[in-house]
Amino acid sequence: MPQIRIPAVFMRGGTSNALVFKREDLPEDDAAWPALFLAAMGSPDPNGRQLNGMGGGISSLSKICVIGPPTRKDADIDYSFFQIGVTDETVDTSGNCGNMSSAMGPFAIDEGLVPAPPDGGEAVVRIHNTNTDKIIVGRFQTEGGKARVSGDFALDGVSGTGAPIRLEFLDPGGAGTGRLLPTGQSLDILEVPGLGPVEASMVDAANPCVFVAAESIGRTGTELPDALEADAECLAILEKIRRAASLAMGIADTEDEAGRIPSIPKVAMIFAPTDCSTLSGARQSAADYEIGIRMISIGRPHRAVPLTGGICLAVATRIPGSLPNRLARPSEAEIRVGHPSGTLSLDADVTVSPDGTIHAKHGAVYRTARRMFEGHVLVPA
Amino acid sequence: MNDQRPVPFVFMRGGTSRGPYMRRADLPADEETLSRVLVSMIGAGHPLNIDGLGGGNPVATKTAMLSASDDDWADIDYFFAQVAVDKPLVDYAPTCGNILSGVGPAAVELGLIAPRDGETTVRIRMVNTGARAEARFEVRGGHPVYGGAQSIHGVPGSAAPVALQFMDTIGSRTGAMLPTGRVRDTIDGIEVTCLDVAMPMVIARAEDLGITGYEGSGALDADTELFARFEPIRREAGRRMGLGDVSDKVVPKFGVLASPKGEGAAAARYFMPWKAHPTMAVTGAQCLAACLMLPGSVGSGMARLPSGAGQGDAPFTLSLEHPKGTIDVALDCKVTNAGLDLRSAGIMRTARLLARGEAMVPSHVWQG
Repeated sequence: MPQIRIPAVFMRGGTSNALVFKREDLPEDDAAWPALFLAAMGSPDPNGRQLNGMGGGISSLSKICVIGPPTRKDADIDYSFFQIGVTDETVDTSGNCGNMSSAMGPFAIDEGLVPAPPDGGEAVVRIHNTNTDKIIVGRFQTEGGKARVSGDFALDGVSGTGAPIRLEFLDPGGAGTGRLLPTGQSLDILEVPGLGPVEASMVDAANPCVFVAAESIGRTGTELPDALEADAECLAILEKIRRAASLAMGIADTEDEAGRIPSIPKVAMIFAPTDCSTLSGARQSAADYEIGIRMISIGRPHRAVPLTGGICLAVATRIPGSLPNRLARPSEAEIRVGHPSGTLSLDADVTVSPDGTIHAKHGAVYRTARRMFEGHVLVPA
Repeated sequence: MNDQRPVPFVFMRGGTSRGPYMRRADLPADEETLSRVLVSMIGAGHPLNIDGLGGGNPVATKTAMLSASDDDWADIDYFFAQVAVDKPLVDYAPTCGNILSGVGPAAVELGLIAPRDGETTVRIRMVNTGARAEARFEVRGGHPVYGGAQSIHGVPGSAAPVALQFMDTIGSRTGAMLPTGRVRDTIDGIEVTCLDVAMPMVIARAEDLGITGYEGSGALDADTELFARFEPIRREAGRRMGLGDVSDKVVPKFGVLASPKGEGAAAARYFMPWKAHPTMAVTGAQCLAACLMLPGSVGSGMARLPSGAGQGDAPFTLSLEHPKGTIDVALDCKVTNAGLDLRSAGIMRTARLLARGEAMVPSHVWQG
C-alpha cells in the first residue's frame, strides 16, 4: 500500500526542533493523530534512535506542533504541542514547549495563516497555546511577506546567529498559586529552621520561585554547578529555604509535605553583575548581564536557567522593593540573566496601580527560529 | 525574496542510516562551498544538530548526492558525504553501505531513473571508492514500494526489501576467491577455508574450535583461550593468502560457522578480528554465505539451503544467524563440478521515504 503524504514543515524553535503540521492537513478526527505522529517520528524505537522517522532519539528532537484557526477571539492561531515518546508510544499533551512556541509566529506568517505586515516590518502574532490555554504573543521582523531568518542575535545553545523573536507570555502571574506575590509582599524575612532569618522574594510568574541573595548565605553566586553539587551545605541551606518558602507561599502545609513537592517552588540564589566565567570557560563580564542566577531544579544545580524560572526572575526584577529589583542593574529594555552556560535575554512588563496592586502583564523571552525543510512527510498507510 | 535557499531533497532511511538524498546538480560544484552547505543543512557543529536535519548521531548525519552516471556500466553515480555531528566537518573518503540501500529508490523519487512498474534494477557506481553495486526493488504506480515483510536488525518493524548485489567482490584484496589455491587448509590441526569474497576471511567450523557457534559476542570476547587458539591460525593463513605478516593487521578476518540453531541457513560468528562483532559485518556475511555454497569448504554441507539454491537460475537468499538476529545474504552463483561459479554476492536491506520537499539553507552560507 502506498504511504500517506502529509504536508509538513520541519522547524527549529529556540533550542528544540519539531515537525509542524497545519490542522487542515491532518485527519478530521484527532483520535487518529497519535498513531500518525508516532509513525512520522519513527517511534517507538527500542534502539532509541528514531532512524525510521524524523525524530532524533532524544526528547528535544521528538516534538510535533499543530497550527490551526483560532478558537479564541483574542488569538490569531491555535497552537497545540505534542511531545512524542522515543522508545515508547506516549504522545504527551500535558505541557507546552516554550522553545517551539517561538517558531509558531514565523510559521503562521510564512504559510499565510496570518497576513504579513504590508510594508515589511514587525509582525505581531497572538498564539493561543491549547495545552495551557494561555496566549503567547510572538513579535519578529518580516521581509517580502516572510519571517526574517537571518540576523545577529545569538541564542545560547544554537550555533551562529539569527533574527530575534520576542515571545511574550501574557498574564504569567499566579501560575502555580493563583497570586503573583503569594505572601502579599515583594520582600519577606523567612525564618529558616537552623539558619535564622533570611531575606527572600517569593514570586509566582510562569512558575513559583523563591529568590535569595547569594551573599546572604555566604556564597558569591558565581559558583558553577559542579562546585555547587559538591557543596552539600549550600544545597541543604537552599532546600531549607525552599521548604520554608513553600509554606509561606501556601503550596505546602507542613515542611514534610514541602519536601514531597520538590518541583515547586524553585529556589535560586541571585547576585549583582560580577565578572566570572561560564561552564565552557568563557569570560562573562559584569557588563554582559543585568542579574545573575544559580537555580536549583529538583535538588540539582541547573546548568543554565529554565525558561519559566527566567521569566519569573525577569518579572521579579520589575517589582518595586523585591530582592531581584534591588540586585539587578536597572534596564529599560531587555533583562539579560547570567547563568552558568551564558545569558538569557528576557523582558517583563509589570504595572503598579495607584492602590498599590502589582500586575504582571507579560514576561518575555527572545529566541530564534529557522524553517529547515518544507514539503511532505510520509507515513505507512 | 527569502534569505534562505531551497534545495530539493528526499529524506530517506537506508538500512540503519538516515539522511537527505539530493541531485548532485542542485548543490554547489566546488567542494568547499558544498561542505558549508551540507554542514548547515545537517546542523553539524552541535551535539544535537538542533539547527538542521541531523539527529545527533553519526548514522543520522549522512548525505547522498546522486547523478546520472557517464560510466558504461552504471546508471547512477552515488557520491556519499559523512557529515560530523558536533564539528562542522564533512568527510568524503568513505562510502556507506547503509545509505546505499536508499540510492535506487531515491534515484526514482528524484527523477534520475524513469520508473517502470515491476522489479527495477539500478546499477550504482560509488563515486567515493569506485566500488559498484546493483540495487533491486519493486516499483508500483511510478514509485518504489516501501511497505513489506523484510526486517533488518536495528530498525523496528518491517519494510520492502532492497537487494544489494556487490560487484567486484571476488578476490577483493587478494585477487582470487581462494587465495591459497585450496578450498581447505589445515593449520595447527584445524581445518579452515581461506576465502576472499568482499573481505578476505579465515573460516573454521565452530565445533573444531571447541565452541558451539551460538555464543553471544560478550561470551566470545571473554573466551581468551579461543582467541589464543585462532590468532596463530589467522597469522599463518594470512601468510598463505599472500597478505604477508598480519600480526598487526585486521585483515584477514576470522569467522566460524555452525549448523543452524533457528530458522536460518546456518549460524555464523564474525571476529574483527580481536573482538567478536556484536551482530554481523555486511562484507563478512557475503564471505561466510559463499563459504556455505563452496563444495569442499569447511562450510560445505552444513547449511539448510532453500530449494534451487546454487543451480544458477536466479539469485537466492541465505539467512545467517548472528548473535542478535539474522542477516539475509543474496547470492548469484552456480555450483559446478569445478567448484563455485560466484557471480555476485549481496545483502537484503530496506529503505523508507520519510519526507520529501525542499531543505532550506541560509543564503549567506551558500554565498560564503
